[in-house]
Amino acid sequence: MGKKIERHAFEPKIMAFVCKWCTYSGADLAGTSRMDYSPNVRMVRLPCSGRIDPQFMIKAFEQGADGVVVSGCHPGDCHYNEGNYYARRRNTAFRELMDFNGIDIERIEFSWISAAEAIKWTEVIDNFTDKVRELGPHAQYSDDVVDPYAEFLVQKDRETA
Amino acid sequence: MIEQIRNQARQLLENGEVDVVIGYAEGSDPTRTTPVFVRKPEDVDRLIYDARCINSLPLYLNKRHEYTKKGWKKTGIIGKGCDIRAITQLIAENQLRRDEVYILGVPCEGVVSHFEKWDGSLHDGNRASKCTDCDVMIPLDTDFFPGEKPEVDRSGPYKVTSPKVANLMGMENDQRFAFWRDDFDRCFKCYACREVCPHCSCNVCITDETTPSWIDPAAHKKGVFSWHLTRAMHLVGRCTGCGECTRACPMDIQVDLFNQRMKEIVQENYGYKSGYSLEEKHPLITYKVDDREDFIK
Amino acid sequence: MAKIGVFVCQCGNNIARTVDTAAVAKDASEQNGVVHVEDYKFMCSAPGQEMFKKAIKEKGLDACIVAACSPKMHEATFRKAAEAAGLNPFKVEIANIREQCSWVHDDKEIGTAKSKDLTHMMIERIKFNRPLERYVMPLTKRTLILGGGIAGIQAALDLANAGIEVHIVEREPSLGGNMARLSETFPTLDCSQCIMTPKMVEVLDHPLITVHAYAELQKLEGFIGNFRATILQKAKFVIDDLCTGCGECWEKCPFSVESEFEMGLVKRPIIYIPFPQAVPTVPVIDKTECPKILKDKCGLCAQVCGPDCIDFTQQDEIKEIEFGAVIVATGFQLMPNVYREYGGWRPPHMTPKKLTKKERAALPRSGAGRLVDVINGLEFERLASASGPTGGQIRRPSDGKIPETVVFIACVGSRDCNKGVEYCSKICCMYTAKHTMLYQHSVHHGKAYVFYMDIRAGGKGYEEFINRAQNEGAQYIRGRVSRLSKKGDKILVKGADTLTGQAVDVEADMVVLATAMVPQGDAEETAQILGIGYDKHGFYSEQHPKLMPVDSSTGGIFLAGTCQGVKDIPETVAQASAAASKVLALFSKEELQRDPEVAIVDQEKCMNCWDCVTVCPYLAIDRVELKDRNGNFRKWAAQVNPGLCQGCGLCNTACRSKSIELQGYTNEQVYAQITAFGGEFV
Ligand SMILES: Cc1cc2nc3c(=O)[nH]c(=O)nc-3n(C[C@H](O)[C@H](O)[C@H](O)COP(=O)(O)OP(=O)(O)OC[C@H]3O[C@@H](n4cnc5c(N)ncnc54)[C@H](O)[C@@H]3O)c2cc1C
Ligand code: SF4
Ligand code: SF4
Ligand code: SF4
Ligand code: SF4
Ligand code: SF4
Repeated sequence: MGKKIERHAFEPKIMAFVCKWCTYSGADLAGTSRMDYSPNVRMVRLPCSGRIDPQFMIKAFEQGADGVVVSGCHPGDCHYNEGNYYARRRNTAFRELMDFNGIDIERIEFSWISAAEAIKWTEVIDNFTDKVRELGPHAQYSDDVVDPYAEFLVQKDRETA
Repeated sequence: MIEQIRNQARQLLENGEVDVVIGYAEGSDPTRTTPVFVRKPEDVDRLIYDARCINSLPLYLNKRHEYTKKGWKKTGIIGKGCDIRAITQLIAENQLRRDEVYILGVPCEGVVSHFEKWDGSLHDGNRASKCTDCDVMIPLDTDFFPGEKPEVDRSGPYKVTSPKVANLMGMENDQRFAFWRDDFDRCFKCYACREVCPHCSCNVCITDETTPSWIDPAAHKKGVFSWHLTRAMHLVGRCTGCGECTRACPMDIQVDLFNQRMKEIVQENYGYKSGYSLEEKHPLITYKVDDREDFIK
Repeated sequence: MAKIGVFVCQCGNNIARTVDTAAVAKDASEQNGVVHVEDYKFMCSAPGQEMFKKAIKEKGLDACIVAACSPKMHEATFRKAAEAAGLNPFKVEIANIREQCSWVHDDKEIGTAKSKDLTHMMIERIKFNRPLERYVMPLTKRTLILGGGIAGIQAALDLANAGIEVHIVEREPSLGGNMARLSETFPTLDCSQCIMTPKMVEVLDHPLITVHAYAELQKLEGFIGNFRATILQKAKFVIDDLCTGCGECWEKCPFSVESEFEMGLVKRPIIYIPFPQAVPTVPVIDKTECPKILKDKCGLCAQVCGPDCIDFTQQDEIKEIEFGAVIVATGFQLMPNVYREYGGWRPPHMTPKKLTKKERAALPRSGAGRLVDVINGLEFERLASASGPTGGQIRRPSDGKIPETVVFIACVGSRDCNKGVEYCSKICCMYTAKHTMLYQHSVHHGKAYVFYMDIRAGGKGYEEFINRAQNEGAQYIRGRVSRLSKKGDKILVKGADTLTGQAVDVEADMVVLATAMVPQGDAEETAQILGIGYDKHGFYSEQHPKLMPVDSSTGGIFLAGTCQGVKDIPETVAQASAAASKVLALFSKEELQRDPEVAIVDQEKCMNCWDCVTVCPYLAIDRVELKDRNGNFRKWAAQVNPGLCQGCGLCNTACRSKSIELQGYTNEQVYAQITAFGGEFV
């Protein structure tokens, strides 16, 4: 049986939005090369980093993610030529916006990772996980004010199920 | 000045060049003005213009408000410089054709921030914050302008950062968060801020969308955050800074601070100012190969 | 209620070693909508696939998750199997628990927890997968080739020999392009005309090739497989079918103007073929000059023409033809305005606009700082060509003297950010070496100097060729030339040798500039007609700089030759053949199948801001008018052409109201995936 991964009191939940041509393939390569990296990350595969909508990141945080990774091909390498340039602008604006709202932008990691950069992928994920573990749970989103009506609906759902 | 505007409006209506002139009239009490739709030449004398004319009239040109101009081929509109920027932005976004409007530009010296603060004159105590860094007091694109239109250099950046934005940016992250959390606590999602915005022209707003509902309809904290982040994101590089969203908010939430901050960001990073050009595309749908990427690993 | 099947693969021990697949399967079976689970050793094996198909049929599954290796490995396999079992292939998704889980985490507890999570996310996602049908579109198996230089010729022959109908649109009266101007070609010094003319004749005679010479492309509509070209056939005033190419007319024509083909070095008649080997050999009348057409005087050619094929009333003609693919081969020109920088004389036809007679007369021919004997590489090619204006004897343009000393200057306009272009034109080192040889073969006692910056000779036999030129006596001086000035009937070349650090002055009889190769003057307009991308210089952009060097940014349009970037003949020909093979691959099916993972628009919601139109890299989105029942205009809306959409999803992100969606990656699918995110560590 393989080696035990160290368990910490707090394990961050990390969601990654990645493009399928570069980053997703890079992560696959990490697998084929039997590297290991921290198991906290869950990936959503998208055609292009230009398809990554700020809405996804907002939802991921709402859903309890402590950190979000956004990644795609390096500038100039986009499969669709220009998708990552739009992604870069959108994320510049979005980060500034989150920052202005006081939401901790250290919890969003943007990285260019090519299909060959398996090592970079593992480093980005490991370092980011460590960083978010340091930061602790995303308190800004976790001290939830529950909507009573929504709670009521959920309750009803459970009863009928 | 207002006489010249009235005369022009009368002529336009008389010879049928426009079907209506949208302008300002005296409101319900002496501190207030109200938008007015003048359709008959004999009514043009109701038109007024002074520092109380806060409302951003281009809202009524937005297609969402089509009911207001049913069957009207051409609309005359009285515009301050900032309103005309909104019109330009609407045309650039294909929400309006230039030949559908006749712009009666007025020179503006600033407006009051709220009617309640009007004490007969405009001064630093009651001037709207958007007016402090205005470079379109002499408006840009007009069909009619009372008198000679002086040349103004508008090439520079917006002159000042809004003191409120600067103040917030001076805070620690957590303080800023606390500021917004407390403010947003009051938001009950009436969407007045959206309804009043000239650039929220979507047929179905993303927040009314249910497949899927990206924005939680409930007015709890997450839902409100998500609404305001989304709204501000959608207005990046498009907001023309009328400040109506804040003025419309029944809960006194200063939502336009978001837009003001994004205005600075867009200007700093992409040198873009909304509402100045019909051709230039807003910054989120264009790019440069050497855009800023200092935050990217 | 969904009927989802979940198939967990052990992959031998590859997955099972660090993931408890039985636990994953059991957990999945407890999820809403899951009606069937399997935990099997090798899902991709024949028995595994049989089991998969059987389950779909017997349990009536309407969606399947395969928790196994990366979708890059077997997504296609399982989608095909599903199709065979009667399930829409787009209702199959892969949860990647091998590459992204079992192979990277060594702890079974953690691996199992993560696999469960990854499977949950997919189960939720697939509830929103819509069954998609592949788009099938007709395919017109006919190719348009724009430009009849060597690139266009090669592509046309390759295609026609494979049985594909080809139309070449060439705007000059003859095929050939710039290669027809060359005398001999590096690195073998074989005669350009000798290798080119047979190909041109083959093109003309080929039953599957139609040549539209003296014609232009006015409009290109449609998309891959279904283009519609509007071709303007300029009036030649000569009836193609009757003309025998006897040459009576152009020999008798009493008027003459500067010849474009000969770079203004000599004159040509007004009814003309550009050069003696022209193909087709049908002359055209230059209607801007002909006195018969302009003021009804002369008409001599019509009198001498035997077959009576001259028709002064001929009009421009518009032809509309349908194509399935386009190859762009519009070639290059030499940078037009660098003569000025060197005080050279600019032949009038090289000015950007066509000059009137008066303007042309006003241009100084010599003196006043204009040096007639400063010429460019192509002009030198003509002087050295046996069929050129001097019959192959190298004589200088001003007085026809045989030059005793010739200075060749490399990198004129190339690698020059200030006055020229940033890039290296790549061929100049080679043709300059060639020129020194041609010169010394023709003028045995002549002296050739070459001022150069670096020698770049990276090609098969190229370095050897440069060595040969140097051995044959050309003197290479590393350095730039600062000034050319007139000295008697000579040109004083002031330069510097940067290797010795000394100033070098040469009194030359003639100076040849290796001017930069740049795109055609109208390259950008042509790109706009075609709807393809171009770089800041005007060279056409390939779809991917490394992996798709012959595809343009628009589906069904391919690039060949120097219109895409600087190239010599072998590279041009290679790219032309590559483009032809791309077209053949496209035409290998009877109809076009397009991936259904493309964007679609909710047209009622769309508020016609055209943001999606702006961001789409493939110009796949049209603006359409929606009509009501009575045919009256109702509203504008975006509409995606599935023939062009490549499924990048940029439009989806750009659209604020989410009126446009990328199928396969819809908002609902991603939303479901995010909300199913549990992130449980163990
Ligand atoms: C001085 C010089 C010497 C050279 N010597 C050599 C050599 O020795 N060996 C070697 O390998 N290479 C040599 N080259 C390079 C060689 O000439 C080119 O690589 C080759 O000619 C490129 O062919 P092409 O078909 O891409 O373009 P072109 O030959 O330019 O052909 C393009 C054709 O398209 C037509 N066209 C353009 N636009 C349109 C339009 N809008 N509509 C219709 N038709 C259009 C043009 O009229 C032209 O006929 C030399 C180049 C120069 C300048
Ligand atoms: S107007 Fe005020 S209360 Fe209403 S949605 Fe906007 S911010 Fe919230
Ligand atoms: S966001 Fe607010 S300030 Fe900006 S244009 Fe809309 S209403 Fe005006
Ligand atoms: S908030 Fe966004 S989606 Fe809603 S109306 Fe405004 S721009 Fe449209
Ligand atoms: S971005 Fe959206 S609303 Fe705008 S034109 Fe495209 S589909 Fe329509
Ligand atoms: S998915 Fe990409 S290619 Fe397709 S229409 Fe949208 S932007 Fe264009």
